[in-house]
Amino acid sequence: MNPLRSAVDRQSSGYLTNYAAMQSAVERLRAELKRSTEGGGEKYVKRHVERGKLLPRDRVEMLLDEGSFFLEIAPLAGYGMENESPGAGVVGGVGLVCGRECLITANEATVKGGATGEAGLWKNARLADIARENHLPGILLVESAGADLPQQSKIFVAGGRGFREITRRSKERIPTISIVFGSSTAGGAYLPGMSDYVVMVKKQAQVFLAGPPLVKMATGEVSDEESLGGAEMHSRVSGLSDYLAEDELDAIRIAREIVSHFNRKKPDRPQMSAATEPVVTEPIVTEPIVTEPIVTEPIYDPDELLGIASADVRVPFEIRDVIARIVDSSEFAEFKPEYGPTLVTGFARIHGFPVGILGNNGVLMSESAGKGAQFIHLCNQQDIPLLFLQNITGFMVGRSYEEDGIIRNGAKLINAVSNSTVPAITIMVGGSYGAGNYAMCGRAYAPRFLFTWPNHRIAVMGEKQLSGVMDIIKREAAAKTGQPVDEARMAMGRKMLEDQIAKESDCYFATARLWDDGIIDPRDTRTVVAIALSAAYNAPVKGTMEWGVFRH
Amino acid sequence: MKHFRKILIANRGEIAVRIMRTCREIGIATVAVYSDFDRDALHVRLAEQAVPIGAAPARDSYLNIEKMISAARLTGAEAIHPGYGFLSENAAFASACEDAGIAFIGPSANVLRAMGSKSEARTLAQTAGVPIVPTPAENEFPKLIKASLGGGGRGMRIVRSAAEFQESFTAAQGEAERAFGDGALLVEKFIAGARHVEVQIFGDHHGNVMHLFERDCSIQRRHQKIIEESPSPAITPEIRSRMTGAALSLARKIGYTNAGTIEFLLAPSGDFYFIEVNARVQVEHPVTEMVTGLDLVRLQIEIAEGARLPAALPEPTGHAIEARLYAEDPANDFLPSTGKLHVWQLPGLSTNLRIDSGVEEGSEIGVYYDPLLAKIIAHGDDRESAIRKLTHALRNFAAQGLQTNREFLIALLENREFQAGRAHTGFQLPVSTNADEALDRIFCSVTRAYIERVENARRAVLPSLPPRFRNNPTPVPAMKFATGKQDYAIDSANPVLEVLSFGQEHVDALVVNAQIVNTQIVDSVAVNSSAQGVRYRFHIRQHGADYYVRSTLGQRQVTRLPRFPKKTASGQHQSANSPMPGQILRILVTEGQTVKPGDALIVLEAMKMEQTIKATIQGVVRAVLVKTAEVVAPGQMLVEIQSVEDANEHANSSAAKH
Repeated sequence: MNPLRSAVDRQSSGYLTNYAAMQSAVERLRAELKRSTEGGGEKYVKRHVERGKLLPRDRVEMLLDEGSFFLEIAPLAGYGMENESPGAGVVGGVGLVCGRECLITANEATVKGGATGEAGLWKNARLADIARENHLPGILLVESAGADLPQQSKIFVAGGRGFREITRRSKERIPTISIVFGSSTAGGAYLPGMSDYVVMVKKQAQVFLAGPPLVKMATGEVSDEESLGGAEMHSRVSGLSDYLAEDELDAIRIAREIVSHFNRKKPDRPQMSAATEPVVTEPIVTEPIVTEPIVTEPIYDPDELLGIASADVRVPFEIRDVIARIVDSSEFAEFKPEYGPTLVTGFARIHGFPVGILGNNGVLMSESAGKGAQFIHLCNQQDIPLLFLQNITGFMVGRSYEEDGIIRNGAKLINAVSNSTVPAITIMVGGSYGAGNYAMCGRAYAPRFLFTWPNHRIAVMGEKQLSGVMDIIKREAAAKTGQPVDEARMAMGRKMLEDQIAKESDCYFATARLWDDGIIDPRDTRTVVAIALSAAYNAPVKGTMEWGVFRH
Repeated sequence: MKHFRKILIANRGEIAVRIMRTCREIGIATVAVYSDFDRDALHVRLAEQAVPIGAAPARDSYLNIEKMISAARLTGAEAIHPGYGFLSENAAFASACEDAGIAFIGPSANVLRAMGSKSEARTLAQTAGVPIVPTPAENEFPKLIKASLGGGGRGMRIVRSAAEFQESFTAAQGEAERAFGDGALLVEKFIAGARHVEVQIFGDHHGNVMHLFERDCSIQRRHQKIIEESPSPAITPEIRSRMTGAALSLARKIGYTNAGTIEFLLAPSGDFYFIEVNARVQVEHPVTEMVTGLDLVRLQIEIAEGARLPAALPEPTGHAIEARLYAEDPANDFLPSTGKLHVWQLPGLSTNLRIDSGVEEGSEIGVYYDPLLAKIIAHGDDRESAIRKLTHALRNFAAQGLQTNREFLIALLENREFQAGRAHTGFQLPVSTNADEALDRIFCSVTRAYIERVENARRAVLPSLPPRFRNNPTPVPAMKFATGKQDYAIDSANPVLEVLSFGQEHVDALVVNAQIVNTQIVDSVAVNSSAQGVRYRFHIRQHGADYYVRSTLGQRQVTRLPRFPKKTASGQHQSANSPMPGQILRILVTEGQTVKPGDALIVLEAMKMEQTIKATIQGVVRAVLVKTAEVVAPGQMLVEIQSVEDANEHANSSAAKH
């Protein structure tokens, strides 16, 4: 296979403009992310640490293997939302514990005592989906005041699903370990309650349905927290706790030990790039098996991605230049290159994993939609995961396109995306508008992971088009009723709508609402996709040959 | 003249290997003997035949005359080379060889007998007109007390006042008795500022004797040589001529045959005094070989075969210096250390560098024998170039897995007094015990980088990913290490190096700590202060939690401390552990006995010293875990003591149950 030819002119004004814009976007991302790691602020962090407790992120770090990656999911969930903090009071992601990919969720105890609000509920649900879809053992680092009571109407009813999910995963042989570091009361008590393994930290864990005041109110019984729901009581008397940990580090050590005894292998292993690589999926704990690195990095510098992606999403850019900077050796075997050129399809590898890539190179046409559907069939036939590189303004509109059956052909692609059973990963590298979002495996089409670049914008259509459309509709309505048009008011209304849509199309607005799994530095794309692919292989990777009825 | 076809080497370690080398060159087959401990030793593999001779303790194997003779008979060896130490100066062994019709490559039994007693040797020297160290008047101090038999500084003591004389005398007597089975002592005048200078002599069976110049062995620790050189930096041609003359006249007087060394004390005045004769090949003989170009072992063999000494004295050239690399801990009074040589990498050899060694990578160093690992000998046109060569070789010598005196040797060679040739036998280089924190930090940081990268690359999951990827960066938790006696927590703040690349057993890094870069480079490379740093290759070998890291900056054993501390058991216990390898001399407590801090529990003898292990807490002896005469390893638990409070608590709880 030959590498892509993708020389960019680093001195061109377009490149330099894009680079500067993306660089400042990445800097802002770093700053926002940094804020998300600061918990509930200095005062609460200090108080937490003074109690001799580890901060939630330190708990996660200690749980992870040293040197392991940690792909944090939705670190900016709840960003800019009322009553929410960036991260939504939960730290969650995929990392290695004793050589095994696990889905780790930690309550941010310095934010409202770890209480869960609406965004937290969405995020927990998303994390639970990731665990179920990818068969990842879950490790819950519990220290939560429970529901954010003022928000109860938004969370109480839907919140019950989290407990159901734990036991349904258990049935699917996807275990969950709860380490209880602090309070886990009322409904929260069912986190350990439903888990397969429970570790409680001595003199810290407090697990009960009702605390001493409520018990006194209900039955008149006088009790204290330790005897009512302390770690020692649950370990020695109630049996809710399986392991009594001396302290937090001991608890983390115990959880790692539990994971090290899991006896499940990855069900499928793809043909990695070199046929000589040994098939090894056991967790590496003591005597690691040495495998020679077989993966070659792209021949083009990923840093150039900053200058390639357009600062203005309305300006199209060559998707092959992106592909050349994320795939092994920059090698891309393109499928149907001469046909339907606005959708680029082809095979490549990322850190050895085979992947079928679909990337937008312009607006979707009938031919490109049909080509995409065919390519998805091929990947399913060969059990090859899909990578969507989404930069799409939508399907082509206009009379001749409608006549040509753009809906009918677009439906083929949506049919294929919807029914495909190989793991799909979506990266939004620019705009995501209209039905293009659906056809290119947007959130509603359940990709295993979905990340965006900081230049990303998402909406049913662009703010100018949308406000313009509304303007036309209003004028038509006015004309029908013979009302005069107040131009000043019209202009103001159009401007307000445009601003609102612009604000709601922003990638931070999107990520706050869990429309994606996070915004990433474009230069990390290759690494993030590799982690996502590797995680996906914890579940069987089996393509399908069954589809909905195609409208030919 | 006979021609030996097979020689048994009644020794082990480097000297056995060295003798075999000469045998191979001549064309003589070799027979090794070995104790159980030496089953896999290098000298056993290098010999054509090898005979097991018994248990590890030397008295059961290398000191057993009967077994040596029968091993020679079994293999048909015509001669025995005894090496040094063990049976090399044992008159009974020489006689036994003679009786068995086996040639003993060394002096006759009579000479050995006479030279074996220091007092007898002194009398002989006197009659030969060789000056001896005067016997001091009763109230003249300082005095030197030493054992009449044996050598190696055992039992040697300097007494500075009448008050301490009796105590020292008794102690020396005890030590001599234990070491040599004879408590006889010599009392001499102590000569301050004296140097140790010795003359190599040879005698053949035709009445000829010759000398091969002197060696200066003034640099000692615990009265044992560690650096030897030739010529002596403190000797004039006139003194040399007097001293070698005295040595020859003594050799003639006693009818000396084969190799021997006559040791003298050289006073600052230029007067010298006879100390003793070492009737064997010396540890430091390569120094003489380097300056004379002769093979002394070959000479020994040829003399035993009946050859005549060469007629002409060889012309010595240049300067040779030897350093003895020992498995010992300079910071712990040079006590021998034991363990496994995990890393053993010799510097590149050249014509003016020689390394004699009997160990190899993976060798186990036990408590039973002399802990000499290697002798490194450098030759140069003059003393300065020989020292430079030797220092450079030691810097590039990797010996890891146990404590060695490598860095101490380097410090000695770099010492100004020594370099000026002024260091005498009283010269003691203080052992630096201060941890070089900046340097330690570099080694710990290298280890951290290695662990993260190599272990990451060894994973089954995504080994090709960059280590520690975070899409939401958080500070790296510190990794804890111990090196030397200090602990270090290494995090990502204030990096001291920048990793350039890594491999299975190395890390290439740019050391950016200017202090280190400026002070540690001995080569005269100008350090440009505006440069970013200096690139080093760090070699790394992992054994469990221990990482043996080395570069030209130094060598460290870096121990990775566990991420998760083990649960601390409740209750206060003391376990008295052995600080060093050794043998239990006396047990002073019994189980159930109450002790208080400072009470003596056990007396241990480690090679040459009595060490008393004391209680550090008040409590009750719960268990004595060793027996008298038992050989113990460093860190081995000897006695377990339960604290008084703890004992009470137990008593209360058991009372409550009844």
